[in-house]
Amino acid sequence: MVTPEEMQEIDVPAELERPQIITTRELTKSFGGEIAVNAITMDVPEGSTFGFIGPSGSGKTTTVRLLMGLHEPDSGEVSVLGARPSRFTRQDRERIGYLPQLFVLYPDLTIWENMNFAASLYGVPFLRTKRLNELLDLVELREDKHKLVRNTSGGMQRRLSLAATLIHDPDLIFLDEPTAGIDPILRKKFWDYFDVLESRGHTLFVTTQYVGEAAYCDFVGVMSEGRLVTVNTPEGLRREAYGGDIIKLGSTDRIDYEFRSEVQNLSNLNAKILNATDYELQILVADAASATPFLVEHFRDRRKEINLVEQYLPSYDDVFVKLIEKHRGENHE
Amino acid sequence: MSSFSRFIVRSTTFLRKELATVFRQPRLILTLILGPFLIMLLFGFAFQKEGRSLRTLFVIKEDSPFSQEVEEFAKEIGPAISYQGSISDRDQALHRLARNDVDLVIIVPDNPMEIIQNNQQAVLEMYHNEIDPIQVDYVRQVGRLYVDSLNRKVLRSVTQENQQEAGTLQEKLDAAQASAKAYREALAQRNAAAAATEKDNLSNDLVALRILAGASAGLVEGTNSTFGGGTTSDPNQGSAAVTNLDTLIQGLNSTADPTTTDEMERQEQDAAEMEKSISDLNSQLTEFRNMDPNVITSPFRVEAQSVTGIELELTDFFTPAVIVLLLQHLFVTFAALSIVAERRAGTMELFKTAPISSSEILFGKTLSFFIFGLVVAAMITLLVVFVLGTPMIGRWENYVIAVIVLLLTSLAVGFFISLISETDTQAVQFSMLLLLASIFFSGFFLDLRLMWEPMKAFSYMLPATYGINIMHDVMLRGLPLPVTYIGGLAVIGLIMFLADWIILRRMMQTR
Repeated sequence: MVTPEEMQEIDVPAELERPQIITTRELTKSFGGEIAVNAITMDVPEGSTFGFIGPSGSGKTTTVRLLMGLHEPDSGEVSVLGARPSRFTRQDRERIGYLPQLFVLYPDLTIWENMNFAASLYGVPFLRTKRLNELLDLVELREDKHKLVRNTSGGMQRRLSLAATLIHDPDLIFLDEPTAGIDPILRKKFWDYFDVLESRGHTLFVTTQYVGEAAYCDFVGVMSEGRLVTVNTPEGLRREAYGGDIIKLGSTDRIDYEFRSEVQNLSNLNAKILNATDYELQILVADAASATPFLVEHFRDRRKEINLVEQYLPSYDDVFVKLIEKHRGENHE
Repeated sequence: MSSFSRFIVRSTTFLRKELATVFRQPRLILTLILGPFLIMLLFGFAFQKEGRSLRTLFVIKEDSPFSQEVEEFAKEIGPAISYQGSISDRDQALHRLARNDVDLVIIVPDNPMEIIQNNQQAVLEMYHNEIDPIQVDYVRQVGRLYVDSLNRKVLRSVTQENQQEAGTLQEKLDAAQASAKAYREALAQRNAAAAATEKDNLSNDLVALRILAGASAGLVEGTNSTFGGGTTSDPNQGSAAVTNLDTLIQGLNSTADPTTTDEMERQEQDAAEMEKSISDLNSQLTEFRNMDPNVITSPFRVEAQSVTGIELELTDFFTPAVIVLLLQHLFVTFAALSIVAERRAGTMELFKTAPISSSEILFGKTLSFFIFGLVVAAMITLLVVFVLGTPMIGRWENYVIAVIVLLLTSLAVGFFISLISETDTQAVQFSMLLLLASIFFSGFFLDLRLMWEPMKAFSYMLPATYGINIMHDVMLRGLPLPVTYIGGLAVIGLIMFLADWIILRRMMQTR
């Protein structure tokens, strides 16, 4: 759980200073005595893409349902578009788009008919052909609009769902695992669509199990066992997971124990060697940009010829595992 | 866009969706429209107005004098009884009945005439093997018909014998009338000797007539009462005719031979009256003899006809009720599957997050199924009226109103089922239960008037009960819309819609 105080301690990016479209404080929900969402506190800035990442069963969908007003929280506070979701007015709902986890449109209707259904559901006036075609263009389904949905692929159905979600041009869009079960190429396309939407001023709240998708988000909330482990930028997550940046330095000369000790004891860097071989070091530093020149200079001073200098970016999978382990360790303590 | 325009836009969401889904299944539409029509057509061919012919076996003693008559009469009675023979072994006959070789066994008493002469009714025992109460009633009706016909045949035979007997009586009456005339003429000629002779002749004729009439008192009495002679007030005194004859005989015997012209003149007047009485009796007897024995034994018969002037076939009677049951069942089922299917597919969650209200959902779904219902109802009606030839005596606008109210109420009931059902299977089961209840309790094939009074309350909870009554009145009787029935149906619909709205509203709320 991230408390408001901790939120302040984290290196909060400037974007978080924008007006908040979603705010929760100690939001809690349980079902039959089992806590699904445990005291979540977070803020989602307007016009951003907020990734909500966590393993299956971590409470992502329950959180989305709380934010959509489908569940009433047991305790805590929640505000979406400045209103309590369970008290949403018709006007509030008209500003929200929701892509459920599963395809919920009608297989016996064509793509076009399903789009019309969604449009009517949100009260989009009858003269809407242009709008529908634009959205079908966005998700590349215009050519297939007269196909029955039952005759389309899972990927096409997912794209149709996304287009239907956007039909009324909502300010805030909840996308519950939009990329689950689809191939990497289509996943990439989806994130391209999301980029377009963000650039048009929409706020996206995207849940996903794919940790790697964190890279596409402005902010990422990491969920584990009903708790929000952290909220940060993708880069911030790496730093948070490892406690700084990692620099990889390689040399054609042998790196002995004495040299490694010298690197670790460079007083102005507070560096830590994470991994070492006879010719290569992985060094954890607070900030790679400022630490790299010092390290290079130290290698040269000791007449070590450098053949590799780069910032090592661990995969988000590793970052995620690290964060979850850290979180579990804290809880265990 | 105004809120009303948005309401219209949101409500039409379902109109397009439901109609597109349904009309994309031409086989479904064909089944819905042609299916019932074909069933009714086949039903019309399958069932005839005439009752079934019962294969009947008679049990009668081999040497019974009636064995010939039993066969002849069984063949005379018409198609209701199909004569399968006579045997003397009662057990064998019942065994054949148990094996369904025959439908009916009639056991003729060994000595029926003896029983009747002992002032008792001879009983024909009748056995059947039916289990359907309607068929049991039919067998009993045929039994009654058989016994009534048998009794009439006996009466006809007795009447014919009496008419023959009346011939002999009439000969005596002719003789008595001739003697009375001769007696009167002798008196008119003031011929005392001839008058005395004719008086003796008349007296003899009257006594002979009295003896014959005494034996046939019933016949004479029947003739007298039937043709205006009245009945005797004292049953011990015998018939009025016999009494009249006794009076005439007594009057004649007490008359002294006339000695003066005055006496002769008075006796001439008495003789004229006597002659007239005998002549009247003779006329009545002639009339009796000339009557058809069938008219005497069955003086009345019934000619029943409908006040509408249209004789309905079995199919005609059932068609309006079938239309009602069909529309109710179809649209209860469509509606029952509708919301439960949305829940199953997850679209309900979409509705909960969308700016659509429970009333818009309900209105939109009702509108779409209602339009589809009108199309189905119109097609079925056109087929049954213009192809099957079912009468439509009433006004078409009344029929349309009835269909509209029936469709809306059925949809309201269907949505209720949908909202209380957890699964599709449950919704279908509830719909089937409603259909079953409607078949048994709506008056579809058992008249509601036969139902135990408290159970009628249940009947009047079913839309079909109202629908069938309304359709019978409008289509087959040509009456205006029965206000209580159409009102009752509408009230059920309104209550159901209100319940639907409340449940759906709760369902759409945050949990």
